Amino acid sequence: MIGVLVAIALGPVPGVGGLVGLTLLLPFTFGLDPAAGLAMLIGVSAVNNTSDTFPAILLGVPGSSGSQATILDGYPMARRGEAARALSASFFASMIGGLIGAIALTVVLPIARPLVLAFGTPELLTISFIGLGTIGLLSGKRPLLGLIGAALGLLLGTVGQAPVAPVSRFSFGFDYLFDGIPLVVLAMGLFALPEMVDILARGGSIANTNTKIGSGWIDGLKDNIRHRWLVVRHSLMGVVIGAIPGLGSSMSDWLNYGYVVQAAKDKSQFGKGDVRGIIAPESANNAKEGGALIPTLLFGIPGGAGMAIILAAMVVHGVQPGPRLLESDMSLVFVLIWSLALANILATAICLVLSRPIARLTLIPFNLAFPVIFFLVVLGSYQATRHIGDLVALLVIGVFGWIMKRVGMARPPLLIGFILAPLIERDLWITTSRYGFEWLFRPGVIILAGIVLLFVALHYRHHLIRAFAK
Amino acid sequence: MNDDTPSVPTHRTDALTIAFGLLVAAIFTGALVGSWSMARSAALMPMAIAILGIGLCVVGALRAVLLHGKPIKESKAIDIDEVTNILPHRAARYAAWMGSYIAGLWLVGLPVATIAFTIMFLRIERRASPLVMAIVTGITMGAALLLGQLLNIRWPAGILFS
Repeated sequence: MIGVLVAIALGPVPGVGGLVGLTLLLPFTFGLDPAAGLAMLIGVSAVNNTSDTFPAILLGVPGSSGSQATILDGYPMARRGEAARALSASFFASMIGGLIGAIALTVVLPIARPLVLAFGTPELLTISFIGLGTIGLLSGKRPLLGLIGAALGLLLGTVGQAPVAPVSRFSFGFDYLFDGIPLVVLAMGLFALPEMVDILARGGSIANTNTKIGSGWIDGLKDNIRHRWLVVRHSLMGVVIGAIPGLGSSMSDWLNYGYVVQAAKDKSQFGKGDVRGIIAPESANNAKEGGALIPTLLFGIPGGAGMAIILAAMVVHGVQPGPRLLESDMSLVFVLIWSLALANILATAICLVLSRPIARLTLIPFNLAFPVIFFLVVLGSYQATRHIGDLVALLVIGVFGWIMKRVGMARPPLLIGFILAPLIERDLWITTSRYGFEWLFRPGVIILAGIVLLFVALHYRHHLIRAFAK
Repeated sequence: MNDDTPSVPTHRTDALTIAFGLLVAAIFTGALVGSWSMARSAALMPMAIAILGIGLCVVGALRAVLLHGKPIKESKAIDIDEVTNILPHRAARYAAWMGSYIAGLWLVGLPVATIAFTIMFLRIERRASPLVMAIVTGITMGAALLLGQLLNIRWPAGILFS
């Protein structure tokens, strides 16, 4: 309960995510018994992806790396007066995703070992290339500009320490750039600042209409029921992505968003406020936490930074993760699984209660709320490395992001390129050093590539049939 | 709409677009030149991206020249990201507010910069009453102190005061 409340309190503060909550609560777990302490941390980890949608939907500001794609459809819904519906759709999708994640963890844990071990760097590299494939989908009407944006993102991702040699690239002597540009600063700059500038210049509040903003939460539930298979599909995708160490929330977010757009028959409303664009990434993000616990518990390999803190807490409490844990302390494993499930239910209930009054924030004249909101964005960015460079970078990227928006260059490809650059460089180097070109013939790579080709073929089946008929 | 139906051009060819295109091309060129002097293993990735970027910019420039003045077919693709129609000088005004707050943080530190920024912004942009200004300033400073304390954040003291 404490973990859930901390996560809900911190989630809406842009850029201050679950990692901060986990770090804050970690010392308090030392005085508790292992089950209670770890349950508290699981509570934070499980629900951060639920409450971080408040700023994403209401302000167009990413609450954390796991809510970047939610902005694309959530924010337009808020602007047309459907904030409560968007929020409740997101919360229910998150809850179902979290529950599916917990069920998957229960079912898969005893048999997951060969599956997780099958993922080496060549398979991770293949997944990164699949991620690059979403760029074409997200480039909109100007694919060339989208590709240029993605190349820019890849280039920005190479700033800082090279992963394969002791070289600091493009840091120009600034110590701030030695570790590269923080993701949170880039995301805030690209999305939050241009949005705020536009609302201020347009005048008025975030929501454009006088629609009853707090009365759509039943619609959100109905949306989840209507798109139930979508929720299940993306939750399962989230579990798989979570189980692969190193992919992270951003990757899960964009892969799922890209896939839901790709698979949809009617794509016309994506980017303008299609609820499927909220449901898919949100269900995947919460399910991902269940998946991330698989390598954490099974091998002691954290699925991400948050899981690394949970792993540290386990070690402090004398709990040794690994296959033996499943034999020696199954009761603790079930406590963690139950915590995951209960935290998701509890968080959804609390967020639903809060969503109605919080959604009303979109009706406040923006130039009245701007000083507070801008301060929160500044705080979230400064939290990244606590260097004044964070704020300078925020401003520079913000101006750049606004110009991109003005000239019609889609911003998501830049962000995806930035996220993928270090993964691709590291994995490509390890893969080619270790396997040469033989990695292309590994079963995992062939299966993943086959799945992608299958989906592409299914998507373009009408064109293919027509081409063969000719 | 028929596939062949010409419609309004989707590419803006105003000065901002041209300047932005040149800036992006310059960034890629700078990256290519900069990566030349790096160790080979570290240079490979940025060099490849820079070459790709320059190639894409060249294609874009050629396309703009060849299609100049001709109607461009409306793409069937959807715009996931919004395209703004706010004029640059309007946007620059609010970007200047943001820049001034960040500069203020750097120069005089958090409390002075936040209070001054909040009061001046509300007074100039909203013509707010003293009561409203006091309430919003109180909320902003309250959030700053609470979150700063909670997250153990040490804000820059301000170079004028340190």
